Order: sequence, then C-alpha cells, then structure tokens
Amino acid sequence: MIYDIEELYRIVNDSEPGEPKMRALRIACSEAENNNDIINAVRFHYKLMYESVFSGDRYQALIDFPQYLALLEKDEMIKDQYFSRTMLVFRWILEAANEFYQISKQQILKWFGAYQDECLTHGCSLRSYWQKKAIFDSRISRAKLKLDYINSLECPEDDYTDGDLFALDDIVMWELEFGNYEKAMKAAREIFRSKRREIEIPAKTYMNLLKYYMKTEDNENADRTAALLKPFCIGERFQLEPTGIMFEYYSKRNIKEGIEFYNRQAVLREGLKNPYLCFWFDRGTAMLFYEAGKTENDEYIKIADAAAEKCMQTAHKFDERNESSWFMDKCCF
Amino acid sequence: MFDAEKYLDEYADAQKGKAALRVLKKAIAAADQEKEAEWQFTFRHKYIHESIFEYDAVDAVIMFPELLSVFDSNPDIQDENKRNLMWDFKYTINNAVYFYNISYEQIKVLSEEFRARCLKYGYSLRAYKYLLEKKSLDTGNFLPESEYGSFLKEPEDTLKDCKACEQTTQVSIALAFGDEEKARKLSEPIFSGQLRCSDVPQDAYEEWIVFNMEKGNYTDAVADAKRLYPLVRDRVDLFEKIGILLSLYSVTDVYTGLNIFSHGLRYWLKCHNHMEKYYFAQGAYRLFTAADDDSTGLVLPKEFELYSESNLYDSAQLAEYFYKEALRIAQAFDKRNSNNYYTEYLNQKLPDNTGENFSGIIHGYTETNPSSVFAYIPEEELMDPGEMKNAIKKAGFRIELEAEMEDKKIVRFKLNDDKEIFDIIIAVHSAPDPEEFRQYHYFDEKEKLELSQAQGFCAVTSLCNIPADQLLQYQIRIICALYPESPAVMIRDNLLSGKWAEIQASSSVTPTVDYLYRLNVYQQADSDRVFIRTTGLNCSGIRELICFDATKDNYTEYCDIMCFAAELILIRGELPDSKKSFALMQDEKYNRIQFSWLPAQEALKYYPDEGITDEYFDPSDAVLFLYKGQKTDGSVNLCRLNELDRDKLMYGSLYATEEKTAVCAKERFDYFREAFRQYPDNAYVYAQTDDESEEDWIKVSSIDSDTIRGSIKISDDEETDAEVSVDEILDFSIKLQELVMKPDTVYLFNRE
Repeated sequence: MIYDIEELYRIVNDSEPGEPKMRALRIACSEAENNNDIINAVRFHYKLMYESVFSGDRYQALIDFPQYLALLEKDEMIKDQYFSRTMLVFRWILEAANEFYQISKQQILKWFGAYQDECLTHGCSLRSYWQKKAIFDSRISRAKLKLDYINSLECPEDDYTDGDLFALDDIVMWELEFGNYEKAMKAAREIFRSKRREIEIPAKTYMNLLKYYMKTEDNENADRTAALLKPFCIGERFQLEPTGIMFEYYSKRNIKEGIEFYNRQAVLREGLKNPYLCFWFDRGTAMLFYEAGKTENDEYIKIADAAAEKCMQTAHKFDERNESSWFMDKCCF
Repeated sequence: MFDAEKYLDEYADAQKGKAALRVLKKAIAAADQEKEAEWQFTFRHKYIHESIFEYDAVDAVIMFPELLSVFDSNPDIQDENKRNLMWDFKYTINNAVYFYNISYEQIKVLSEEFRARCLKYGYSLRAYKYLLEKKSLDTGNFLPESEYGSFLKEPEDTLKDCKACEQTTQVSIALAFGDEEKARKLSEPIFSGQLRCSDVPQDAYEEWIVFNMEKGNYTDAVADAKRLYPLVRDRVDLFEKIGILLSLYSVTDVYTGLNIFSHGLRYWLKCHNHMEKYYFAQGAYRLFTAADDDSTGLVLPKEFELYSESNLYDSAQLAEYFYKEALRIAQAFDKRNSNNYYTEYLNQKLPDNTGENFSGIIHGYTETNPSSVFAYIPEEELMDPGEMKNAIKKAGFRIELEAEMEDKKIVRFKLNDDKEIFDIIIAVHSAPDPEEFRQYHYFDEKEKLELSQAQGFCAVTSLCNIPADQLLQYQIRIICALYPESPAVMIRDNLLSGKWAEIQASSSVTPTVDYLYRLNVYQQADSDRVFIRTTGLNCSGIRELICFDATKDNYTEYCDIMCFAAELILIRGELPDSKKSFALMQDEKYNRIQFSWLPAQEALKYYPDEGITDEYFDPSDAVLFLYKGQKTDGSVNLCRLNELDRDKLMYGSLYATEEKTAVCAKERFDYFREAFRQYPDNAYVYAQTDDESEEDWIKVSSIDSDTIRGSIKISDDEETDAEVSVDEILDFSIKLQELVMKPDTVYLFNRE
C-alpha cells in the first residue's frame, strides 16, 4: 500500500474527538514509523498523547510516551525542534502517571528524575517539576508535599512552566490543603478576575474550594460553588474527579438532585480505564447512595455497596503503589 | 517522630537569606538528633541552595562536606539523591573560588573528588572540565588558549550546565582572548532570548560590559548596563555585577553610580563572599575617585564604618577606604592564586570616555532628562524654608540633606521615603501663559481666573534612577504638600487640574503611563504632511519617537499608533537597539506585528520626496518602521508605517494601566457614590463577577453601603441582575451632565 501522508492527516482531522481520533492516530503513527517518516511519526504521537490526555483517560498517553521519546532519539534536529513540546508532554505524563497504580513508584520517580535532568541541563525553571512532584508526594507524605510546594514557589516562571493560571490554581489547592483560606482566596480571585479559561481551570479551582467548604461545613459557600462547578462537569469524562466531589456534595445537601446528576453522568464511567478518575467517581457514588439508602431503598444500598467495593479496591492498589494510606483514608463510608 | 513539616512552615515564613538559614540549621540539628537520614540530607541540600541563591554562599561551602558525609554514610538515600549531591558539588566548587581562605590545594582536592565521583556514577567529564576552565578565568591562572573549549568535546549528560551557561562561558573565553567577532556570534542567541536561564543573559551582559569598558567603548557598555541593572538590583547571588556597574559609572555617570552604590552598600556590609566584596570595593574606589565633590551627599547605613550623621562624605576619604578594602582582598586572592591578577585589575586605569561608539550599534536609550512637575502659585517667591520642610515631612518624606542655592531661589533636598532615596530641587519662576501648554484636563471658571492671576510657577525637579512613574508620584506628592491650593499643575507640557494632582498625591498607585509623555502634532507649512512627536520619553532615558508618515486626513490614526507605541515602550522601560525587531500590536488575526526604528537622520532616506526639514525633529529621535525580516545580504528589511493596514490593528489593553485603574476605582469609589446621588441615570461599574456573564459593565440602580446592585445587558432585549461589592469593582463611569467621570477624573465632580 502506498504511504499517503496527506490521506493520513485527512483521516485524523476528520475523526471525532476521543476514541475515534485516537484510533486514527494509532494507525497514522504506525504507518509513519513503518515508512521511516520520523517527523510525521513524532507529530502523530504528540497528537495521540494530546488526544488521550484531554479527551480520553490518559492511558494511551502513558503507553505512547516511551515510544515518542525513542523516536526523538533517532534525530537530534527533530529532538531539538520539539524540545518545548516534549517538555509539555513530560508534564502531562508526570500528572497522568499518578493516576494509574499500574505504573510503579520506581518508574514514576525515574520519570521525575529524567524531567529534572532536562530542566537542569536546558536551564529551565524547576517550578513545574516541583509542582508535579507535589501532586505525587501529596499522597505519600505531607512534609514532602510541603517541601515540594515551597520549592515550586521559589522557582521562577518561564516558558516551560504551565503558565500563571495554573500556578495560581496550585496555590489555591495547596493553601486550602494547609488551611490557609485567605491566601487561597487571594489566588482564586485572581483566577476569576482574569476570566481566562484552561481545560481544567476554573473547574479545578471550584472543586478544591468545594472540598474545603464541605470540610469546614460552610454550606452557603458550598452551595454557591457547586452551582458554578456543575456546568463544567456535565458530559465531561475529563472532569470525573470533580463529578465525584459533586456527588459527595449532593450527599450532604440535595440527594434528589445528586441522583439526577448521577444518572446523567453514569455513562461516562463505563469503560473508563483511568483508575484515579474511577476512584473519585466510585467514592462519590458510594457516599451519595449510602445517604440516599437511608430511606431504606435497597436499590440504592446495592449501588452504594458496589461502588464502595470498587472504590476501596482501587484505593488499596494506589496505597500499595505509594506505600501510604492516603486513598484508603478517603474511603469514609 | 521527626516533624519536618514544623520546620518547613517556619522556613516558609522566614525572610530569605540569613533568617531562613537559621531555621534550616535548626531543622538539620533536629533531623540529626532523630537520625532521619533523608531529612538530614534534604535540609542540608536546601541549606546549600539558600546560601548560594539567597545569600553569599559562604555557608554552602562550609556545609557541603557534611552533605557529602551524610550521603556516603546512608546508602538507602543515595539513589534518590545522587543528582542533588552532584549538582551541589558543582555549586560548591564554583563558589569555593570566591573565598581566598580556601586554599588552591583544597579547591584542587575538591575538583579531583568531583572528577572521581563523575566517573564512579557514570557521568562524563564535561562538567569537570567546564569547571576547570571557569575556575581558571576566576583565578587569573589561564590555561593555554588551545585548552579552552575542551569541555565541549566531552559527551553531554545530565550533569552539564545548561546551554545558555555553557555558551556564555564560551563568550567569556572568546573575549578574554580578544576574539570579539567570535564572542559576538556566540552572543546572538543569548541576546535574542533564544538561550536564557536564571543567570543568562545577566552573565553575558557583564562580560560585554567589562570588555567594552576596558576598550573605552562606553556607549555600548552603558546600553548593556541599563539592561543589566534591573535584572541584578535585588539579586544577592549576582551582587558581583554591581561592582562592575560601579566601575563603569565611575567613568560615564557618577550620579547613577552613587545611587547604585547607596543601594548596594547595605548588602556589602553583611556580605562574607570575598569575591563579591572585592568587586564592589574596587568599583566604589573608582567611583569616589571620579566624584569630584569635596562633600558628597549620601544616605548610608549607620553600620558603615565611615557613617556620617550629616550625610555628607568626603569622596577622597571614601575612595581611600574602599581602595584599602579592595587591595586587602586582592592581595589575599593573589597570594592564594600565586599571581597578581586581582591587584593588577584594581590598579588598572580605565580609558577616558571620548564618546566614540566602536561597535556601530545605535541604542534606544538616551541621556535621561530631569523630570519636572510645576504648579501655578500666587506669588513668584519661594516659601519659607521651615514651612517647606514641614510640608515635605507631612507628605511622608524624611529630609536627609538640604541646601539652599543661588541666592535662596533654589532649594535642594535629598529625601527618603524608606523605599527610595532621591534628590529634588525646588525653584520658583515667573508664571508662563497657561495657553503655552496643552489643556489636558477640564478647568472651571474659578480655576481659570486663579490661573490668570498666578504670578509664580514652582518647579519640583528630579533626576533619579528610579522608574519614571514612581518619581512622578513623589513629585506630585511634594508639590501638593507645598501648594495644595494650586489651580493647576504642569507635567510634560500638559496642563492638569490641581484637584487631580491632590487626589493623585494620596493614591496608593502611581500615575498611569499616559502622564509620562505628551504627543505633539505639527503640520508642515504649505503641505498636508503632519509630524507626530513625543516629548517626555527622555525623562525615562528613552529616545523620543517621531512619525513622518501622517497627513492631515489620517493623522489621528497615526496618533493612536504613536500613543500605543510610546506607552508600551514606557511600560517596558526600553526601546531595543535600532534595526532590532520588537512587537507592539497585533493584527485582526492576532499575528504580532514587528516593528523597528532608525535614528531620524538615517530614516530620512526613506522619505526622499517629503521635504522633511530638521525643525520638526531631533536627529537622535527614533522613527518607527515595520520590520520585515532580513534580506539575503544580511541587512534589515524595513518598511514605512504607511504600509500598515491601520483598520486591522488590534491594540490590546495595557495590563499595567488596568491594574492601576482597578485600584483607583476602589480608592475613589466615594466620589462615584456621591455623584450617583445626583446623576443616577448613567452610572456604570465594571466588576468581576464569578458567573459566566459576557457583559461586565453593570448599570447601577442602587448603592447600599458597600453593595452595588444593577443589571448587565446580555443582549438587546435581555438583562440580568447583578450585585457586586465595592471590593470587586475594576472601573466605573458616570455621566455628569456634559462630562464623564472615571476613576482618573474624579476631580470633575462638583465642578460643572
């Protein structure tokens, strides 16, 4: 069969986002590699990882990443040309690796080491390294999380950090974690003022605020924040963690609405390969339906039991990988 | 159990440098006691970083052997921390050179240990050889020329310095051996921004400043110094460069040098880094040798050995003091290094400043003109000095020095507001006709009468190396303190309301950039041609801009371009070198449009038929062009501005101005509140709401304490209710009969 690069691009561009596009891209990657077309193979792998991270559940990106790196090693010029994109991919991978307990701790630490090396030898700020490490360490050791967060704030922003909006969102997340509400709100207001949007922001910001308000039993702010968060979650597989938090919220504030929301979102859970997203969805489901089941509805209890079991199995695997009890501690049913 | 979090919290709250190091020392002791190997290493690693990047590195050099020992004694932590160990090793060797009490032999032992570990851990010898070459440049024990660059032959690995640093070292080597052409080529990607890191381009600027200074090419050296200083002013880890700047300004601009000296002395007094102390001392020696005043007014820390309560210093005495300090350190280094390198450097005389530019690069900077703020006053006479001083103190300034000059018609002060120290001159002249200036603000009849009757014109003038908007704010505060009832002030040939100045004086933000300059429009006699020229950019040390492309029919469009260009350049604080490209605005597809400029005299060749005569411009003015890349012969391709599709320009908003407006909107909301009582029909606030409304201007219907209620227009037929607090507003606008009042023009209230 003749290698037709234009046709491959056409098929990819015409494909529906998500799984169909990823299928087309997998074929395109394979064709380009078989024909030793390095530059296009690299482009297709990059697109595949992008699609996986932002439309899928990141699993494909993790599988594809080593192959992408191996291709770059074949051509120094392409490797240089793609440096900033590679660093961006690296950051996706470091976050995504957290979400799959199948990736061993050693492998994750190896990737972190490799990313740190790239930063140091290319003169890039280590800010993003510490930001991603903070997420990883947050499930292992609070002291390590704190150190990573402090280190991240000490590093300047540059072309290889995720941008000021993400930096602000990080501040919101961690300052709330440490109980510094005022500092967190200062950063949150800047995000809201800017009216700028990224795929995760401000959904993630609202999610972290909602968690905090639930923890501090600030119902008024929780209600307001949940109303702002909900539209971002509807129909979005990428937002299954905030969806799970919304279920938790509804379990405390409005079970009827929570069940309606669950019915709307449940389809997104089907066939999901990302255990991290599964964990949050199942956890929220269990909390919602255990609360709903207090009306002595056996159906609800069954749903809750099934979700709780899946959730705890996932939690156990994550904790085993991380050598901590962070996930199991979240399973408060 | 060891509570690392407790020490981390304390560390996060501590001030950077000495205080943070104290906390980390406590953390190390606690970790040692608990035998928590991971934290014993981690806190020492953090300590070394804090010492090197936030202080003077001496503690890092002392701590490193402990770090090594903890690492070697605990195999369990080695895998995860090998990288950190080796990088700390590099930083330590790099910095060990800066302390004369670390013997050459000790440095050699450290280097060889580093070499051995590179081989043991599977690293190449690139980093080792790189350090050897750098060390030779710092000690004056140069290697044979052929041996430099040998590190490049070693394989790259994860221990090497970044490309920006390696390239800058190559620049340094090329300049050390006088290969200017090679150095320039190597510097291109550095100065274009392609190669940068936390120390680059600062290191590269320093190399070129030293090189140009020693050749007497001061024009280029000063251009680089202007770029370098803001990057290093508050970075203790780059303090050495301050000393280089002092040397340069000892020849080109002693006044600026003295300001930099005053700012830097506080750190020098606390600094233990011998190399940093040396460079500052030798620069200070040169500066005070060049300062020809018998008594120089300086505000210096009390801890300084020669501190004077009167703030007057004998330049010769200071020169001698710093020479002795520099010589002592130089001799110690030379003894350690077995050469005369540092003593010779200290005694080397710099070439005279003949004003010639060897490189041919035309820079965007120009000699800074003093900034003046004037007020119309009833009489042509200076107020009583005692009253003047009281007024200045009431405005929030400490008077460090004062002097009366020229038969008491001029008074000079050195003022301190705890953030900056600056000189001002207060003088009174006879009042010029207000018609000579552009009426920038609205004046009511009472003010016009007072203006016509004013006999005096008080000037508060300053020439100071601080941002122009900050200086202007100081000047406005002073003039309003002296003459609060003045009907008008004049800034950059713009006549402004005295009431505006009074409100601005009490603001927490500086005036917006449009007050830093004025746009002047001249029509060429017997022609349609219109020239548009700025005045006031030179108070920021930037060339004035001029546009030759406008005509009677389109000059307003060019005025928009010139205003935007001037304001963006002022906010950035720099006009890049001539023929270099820079972005100012975008087209409708968000493509950035690249501009450049030529000096007016050189630009005339692009206007052969326009009959432009030099009465409308200064030869050094900058004429803006469109930058179209490079031609095949390497020269720059420039086009006149009339090739711009002016209809499709997107100016964007100036974030700095928006920020100031937001602050002023909150500060001055009471004016809006009062105005709303009288004019409720056309009152709007711009506020950030948390929901997804597209339209952010809220038509105000009621104000209840700090809550503003109104409606947002979603479409022609649809509105939604909105409620915000005063804290959330970012701007406001209210129509007062004929005039519109905004945060910057609240002076308009109650004057129609």
